[in-house]
Amino acid sequence: MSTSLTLPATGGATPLRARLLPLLGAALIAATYLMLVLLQPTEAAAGLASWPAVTAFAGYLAGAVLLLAGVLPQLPTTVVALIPVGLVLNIVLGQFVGSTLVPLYLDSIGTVLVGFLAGRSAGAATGVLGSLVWSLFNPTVLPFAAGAAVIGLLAGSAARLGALRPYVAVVAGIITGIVAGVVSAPVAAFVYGGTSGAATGAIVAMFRAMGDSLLASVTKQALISDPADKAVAFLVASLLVLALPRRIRLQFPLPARAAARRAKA
Amino acid sequence: MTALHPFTGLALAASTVAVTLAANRWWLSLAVAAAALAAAALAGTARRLAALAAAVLAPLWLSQLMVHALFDRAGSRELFAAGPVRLTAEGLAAAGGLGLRTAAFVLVVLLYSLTVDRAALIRALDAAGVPAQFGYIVAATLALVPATADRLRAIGQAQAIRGTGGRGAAARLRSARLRAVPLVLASIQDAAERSVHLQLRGFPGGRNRTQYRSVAFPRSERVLCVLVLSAAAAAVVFLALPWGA
Repeated sequence: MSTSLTLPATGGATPLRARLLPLLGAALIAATYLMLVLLQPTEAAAGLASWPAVTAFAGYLAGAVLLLAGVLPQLPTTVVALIPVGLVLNIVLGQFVGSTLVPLYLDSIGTVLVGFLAGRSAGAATGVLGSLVWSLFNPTVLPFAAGAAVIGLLAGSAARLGALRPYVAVVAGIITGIVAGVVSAPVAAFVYGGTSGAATGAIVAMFRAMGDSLLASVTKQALISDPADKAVAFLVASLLVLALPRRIRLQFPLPARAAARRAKA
Repeated sequence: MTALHPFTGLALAASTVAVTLAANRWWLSLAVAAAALAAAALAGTARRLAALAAAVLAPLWLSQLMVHALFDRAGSRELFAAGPVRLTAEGLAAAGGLGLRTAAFVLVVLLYSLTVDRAALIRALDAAGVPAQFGYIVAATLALVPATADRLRAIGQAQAIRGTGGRGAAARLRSARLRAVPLVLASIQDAAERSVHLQLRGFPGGRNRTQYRSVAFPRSERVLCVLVLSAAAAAVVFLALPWGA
């Protein structure tokens, strides 16, 4: 729960809504994925059926919004102030890396950074908020909100397990890339009929030419592109956290908890 | 859409996108895209809308063309074949339909984004009971994007004076590190300081906080929102189910 320096505390335990909504959101995202994978119609591969597109768009977006509605009111103010920085870093560093001709997009460094500093809930919320805010400039990212939430969630989980060490961060990034790629593949396949980039589109086209279904082709392409991208994003985020002065680092929940554990030990 | 309440514009945009996606008809997508461009012309933002949409849609269309048309194995009406490339009429129709559907979605959402009063949208969200954190994060992000870009430029200039840069991958990486690390450290330090100011002002303030300037949501627009969203939901269910499509 957000705490105030000037107002009395309003309550102790986490309300039921805050526990229930993220679970419902995660269940909806999982159910949408399973439904699309199990019932994928062959005609959808040719872009002729509309129900997979509507299901992928609505199911993933509704799941992500439920997740956000449960998590956001519970975040402390230090984390709420940090999230816009994470979102802006996603945008600015993503554009900057693009301008240096590095063949990666690295548009999730801010989300991973917030996950590393503030934990799973804050990471997931940053992922969803990033998609909602960025959709004002690029609407195609909107249905990928669930995939972005998964990246933030796994970044927070990885930080708890010691991913702030650079070599662990690379492994955690590869695993996150695999999960995020698999979760996001139905959106790319059924809403956009492929991918949003020309280079990744060429890889999907290659798998399609080899006889794979659209979902299988997009999933294979995601399994090639996303682990490398997330490994670099996790490595960069871990190096940035380590470069932070201790005074600032300890203002955020995960480093503060780790320092307290070390002091107790 | 600036004359309408932000939620009315949002309801119209969301309904249009949902119905276009569910209908999946090229002529409807084309009509919606043309209507969005016409509305943008009336609002005086057609050029900006076209430029933004082109930047988003160009790589998508190229990708859809490659995935569905250039290497099609299923289509029977072959238009061109050379090596692995096999262009068919069916593949072109699928890529064209998907491209138009995506264009309609992108143009409608961008039209809303360009014409809505963003400050009014945040005030309306706040008044509707959406957690204050959401409004703060959206407003802060929109304000921080240009400020952070300026800061990155200033850091880059300062580092250039110190002699960073050069050719080759190692020099580029070193230059990127020398720009990114100060940017991130300064941004996080600012966020930590802002959080103290927010807490001192009682953020998020509880349920009973009031607004200095509220956004009027006339009854007629509320009724219109309910009607439009209900009709769109019914249309989506009918169109997306197998017997409707």
